Amino acid sequence: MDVQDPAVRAELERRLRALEEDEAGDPAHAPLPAAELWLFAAVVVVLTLIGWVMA
Amino acid sequence: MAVEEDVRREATFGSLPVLRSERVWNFADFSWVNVGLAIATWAFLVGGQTAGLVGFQKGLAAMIIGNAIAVGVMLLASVVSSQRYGVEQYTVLRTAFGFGGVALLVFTVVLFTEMGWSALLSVMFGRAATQVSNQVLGTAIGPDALPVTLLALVAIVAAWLILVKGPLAMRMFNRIVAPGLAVLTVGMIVLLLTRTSWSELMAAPPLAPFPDERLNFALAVEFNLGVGFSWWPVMGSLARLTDRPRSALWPGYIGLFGATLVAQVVGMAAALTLGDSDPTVWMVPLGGEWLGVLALIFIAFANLTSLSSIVYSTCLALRQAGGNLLAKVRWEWLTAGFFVLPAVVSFWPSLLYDGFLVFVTWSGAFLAAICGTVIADYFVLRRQRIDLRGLYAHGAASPYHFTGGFNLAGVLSTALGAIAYVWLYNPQTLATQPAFNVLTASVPAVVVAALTHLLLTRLLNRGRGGYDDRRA
Repeated sequence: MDVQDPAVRAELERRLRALEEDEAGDPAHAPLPAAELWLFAAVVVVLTLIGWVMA
Repeated sequence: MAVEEDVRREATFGSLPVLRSERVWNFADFSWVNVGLAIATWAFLVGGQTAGLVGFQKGLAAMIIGNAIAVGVMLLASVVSSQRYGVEQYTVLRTAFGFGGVALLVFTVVLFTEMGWSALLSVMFGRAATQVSNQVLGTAIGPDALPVTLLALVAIVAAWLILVKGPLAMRMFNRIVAPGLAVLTVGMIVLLLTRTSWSELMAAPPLAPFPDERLNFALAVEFNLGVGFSWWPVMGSLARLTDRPRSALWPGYIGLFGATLVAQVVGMAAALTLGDSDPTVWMVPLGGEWLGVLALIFIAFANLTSLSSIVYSTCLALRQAGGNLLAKVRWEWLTAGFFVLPAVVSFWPSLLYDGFLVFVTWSGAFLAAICGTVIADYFVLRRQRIDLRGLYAHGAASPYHFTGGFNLAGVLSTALGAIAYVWLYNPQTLATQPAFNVLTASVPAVVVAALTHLLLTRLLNRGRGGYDDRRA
């Protein structure tokens, strides 16, 4: 992507401003919660253990 | 000219962050996208290859372990950051590798991985089409005969023509193929259940195992790990269109673990029942002459759409990573250039098709190491916080410029992770260390790459890379 292209630069700036101002605090931009991350890791571990037991 | 414009628009504006109104996929939508992605013809091929090493029960266990771990790691390394910032993954990757480092990865690991998959799909098209000819016209074309190569070349030309027509043509074909493959999978389940008893399936021996039973299982797990990691090049760009972190991560897992597992298990059961790992050989014995021929025609067609989808996303990534140089190359020429190596490889149909395990594990070595580096960078060093403006700043003005555009810590840690993989298990020679049977090679590659990245970042990136701003 050519960030020096004026059209692309203008569109990028419009989007960055919208994200910083209009969408600040929007749940779409929330980090993945730690609890969800641990739950995900636990599911992976449980499935792996099921596989080992099955083998 | 309209296609050139469409592609240029997607390659440039597609790199920009998406806004709330453009995030069109909720949890259910993205689940279906992933299910559609997962049920592809290569899942049958993976099932068939797994059956080459182990029987049904161990094969199922290997598929669960391999996909559970690799898809989980791969999703954390691709969808989470792209979802949060609404940016496709090759732009986000600048935070871990630098602008030049991303180009290096795209033009080596991603390019050759996707070229390999393209060659594989085109040969599968050739084999499916020659099977149709053998049934309908009474020919006796072998799996490595010249007509297979010629038809593989026809597939490449057809996929190129679809690509030249642009993304709209691809989306139209995909709308037919995804549900069709789901129907084909269900049909195969029904036919297998009516023809084979559970006890016969469980007792069926693997097709071409090595003498060491433990090694066979470890190889089957490693192979399925490699398959799970192979989703990495495409996932981040899709996840940016989801509306919540939860809508990106779990649907990815449901689709790429759950649906893939179903299709792979069907493939493994068919291979064990029919004694051949090649999906193009199963359809006629399973479905009878006419149903089998219809299924083969559909498989050939499905491979064309998969082929064009892979090349489309890879060539877009090449354009985005290639800067002004590739932005000037016409779309037709770029995609045609991509197909040169797959076309050459199709002259040796068994090279990738029968060496599928070797190909998948080689690409897995690098993709696992990349995932380890990215996870350490995004979750541990940056605590899920990146500088969005910095992703698009020019040259040294960006915190992700690092050293001349390369994050040496990221590049070196990825290289060391891949070396650890090859030391534990060399895909070419099949030489293994004793630890491979327990640890696999991919999991240590992820861990080595992650730990090395943490260490090297402390040593090499003081005051560089925006790591000090993470609490801002």
